[in-house]
Amino acid sequence: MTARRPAPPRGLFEDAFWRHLGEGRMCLQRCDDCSSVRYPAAPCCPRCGSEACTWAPVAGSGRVVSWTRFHRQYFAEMPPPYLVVSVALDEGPMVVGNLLGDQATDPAIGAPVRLRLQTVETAAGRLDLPQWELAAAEDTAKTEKR
Amino acid sequence: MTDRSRLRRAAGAVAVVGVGETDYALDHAALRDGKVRSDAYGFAATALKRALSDAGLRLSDIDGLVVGQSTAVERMAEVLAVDPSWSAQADAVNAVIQAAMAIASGLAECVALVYGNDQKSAGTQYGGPNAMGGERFLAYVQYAPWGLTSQGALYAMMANRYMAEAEFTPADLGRIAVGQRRFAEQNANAIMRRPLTLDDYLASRFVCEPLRLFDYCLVNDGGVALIVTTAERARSNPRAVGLAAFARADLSVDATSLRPRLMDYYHDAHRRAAADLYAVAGFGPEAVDSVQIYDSFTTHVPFALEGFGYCGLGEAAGLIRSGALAPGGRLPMNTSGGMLSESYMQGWNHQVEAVRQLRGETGDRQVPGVRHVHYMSDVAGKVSSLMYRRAGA
Ligand SMILES: [Zn+2]
Repeated sequence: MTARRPAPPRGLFEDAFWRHLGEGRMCLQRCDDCSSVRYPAAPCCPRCGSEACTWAPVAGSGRVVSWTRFHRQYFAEMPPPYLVVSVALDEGPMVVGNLLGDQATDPAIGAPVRLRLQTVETAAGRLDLPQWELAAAEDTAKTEKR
Repeated sequence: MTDRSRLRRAAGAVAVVGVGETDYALDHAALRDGKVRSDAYGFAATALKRALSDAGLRLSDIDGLVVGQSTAVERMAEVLAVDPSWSAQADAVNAVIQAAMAIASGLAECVALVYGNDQKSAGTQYGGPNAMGGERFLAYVQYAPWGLTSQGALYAMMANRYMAEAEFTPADLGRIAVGQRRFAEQNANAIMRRPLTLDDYLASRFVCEPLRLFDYCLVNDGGVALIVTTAERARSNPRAVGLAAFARADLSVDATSLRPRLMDYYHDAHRRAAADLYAVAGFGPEAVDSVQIYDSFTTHVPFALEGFGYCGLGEAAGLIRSGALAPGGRLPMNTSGGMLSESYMQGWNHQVEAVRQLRGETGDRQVPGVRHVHYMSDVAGKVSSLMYRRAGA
């Protein structure tokens, strides 16, 4: 059974973010003028002000900036406990997701993580959520070499 | 670039001459018995009557109005029956700053700052499907699909990173809650007065790990009002409390992605505000006798103390463990019990406590010989700070 999740707030510029995820990849806006990558979606570049941008796929790797484990239930769809992590992408921006896998072990700050899409149902329809799992040792070695 | 000589003139142009609060503990007890005493506007009106009485002024003396963010300007003015020459809406610290700006610029001479909140009886949600604040702070609602909406969860993430970097433990968070509770025990208007031990704290349930129940502020109804007027009008008033300085610095770039929160603990804004504040006041932490810190969560305390230079970065645990911040310490903090133990008035009750401390009217919890009280607020990276001074100090 597909997990149920709260729907995200959707502004004009978020649609492309979720559409790309529905096609199996996580894309962020990359500025056509200064190449900086931004999240969340925005009408213009926070570095140079340019409105020209291209939705470009991210590598899907990053590191844990911090985490929290929810013990209180805030959403009917989400019984605790569950882990939320902030992840610094290799491309620079920071995003939020759930850490999949063992929910009882505290993730280490700085731990390398890999993207994994999770299909969920929301009140606004089906979504593919960008989620994170701890990278295996060989993935880490690859990330560091690159 | 800020202009410190103008800032000094603006701060020196005003004084707080009246304060008022509702009966937090009594109203909270009544609500537990099912009696809703009033709504947000009614609590504000009660607080304003008390502040006017405290100041020896009448409503007709008021020509400026600042209302808190939980009420509408027009409806508040309508309920209070004032048509001021100037009005605005602001959080607690910015209400004081805006009143000073209005007075310094000549828009008004006697400003009522009023706050009312019925968040408990009205069931305001600070997380979940109807989380408040998303229209002002996108990060409060952006991450709903991942179950992250509460402000507490954002502070929990700050705490986990900080504890991995600094010598700071969950027990240090507990010491903050315990110290403030000890002040609340000496405050008849505080809602939470039952003694709290570190063991009680450590045994309490997690909400968003590592934060526990006692790291979270209360949620209650109430109102607060202050009267701010010109320094000339206040000159002959021995109970008037002056402003040595005010300062502000924002961090909003990358705020939704949580970068300034998690990577910097808002220290860039703390440093900018502190530099202006201390330069304008002409003194720094060495001359501060008591601090009031916006404490919706215990975690605000180490970040504000480090950011404003009360200790080095990563060294707040030492200050906390020394007992400096607790009753009898050298830097008593949140002496009313703060929002963790007195009342969650979103920073407004701290202003009243600062004024009463400087008037010497706080009874058992009075800080001896207090000349300067420093208020610090860093909600969502918008750092604002006030340095209050005793009349004649
Ligand atoms: Zn650009």
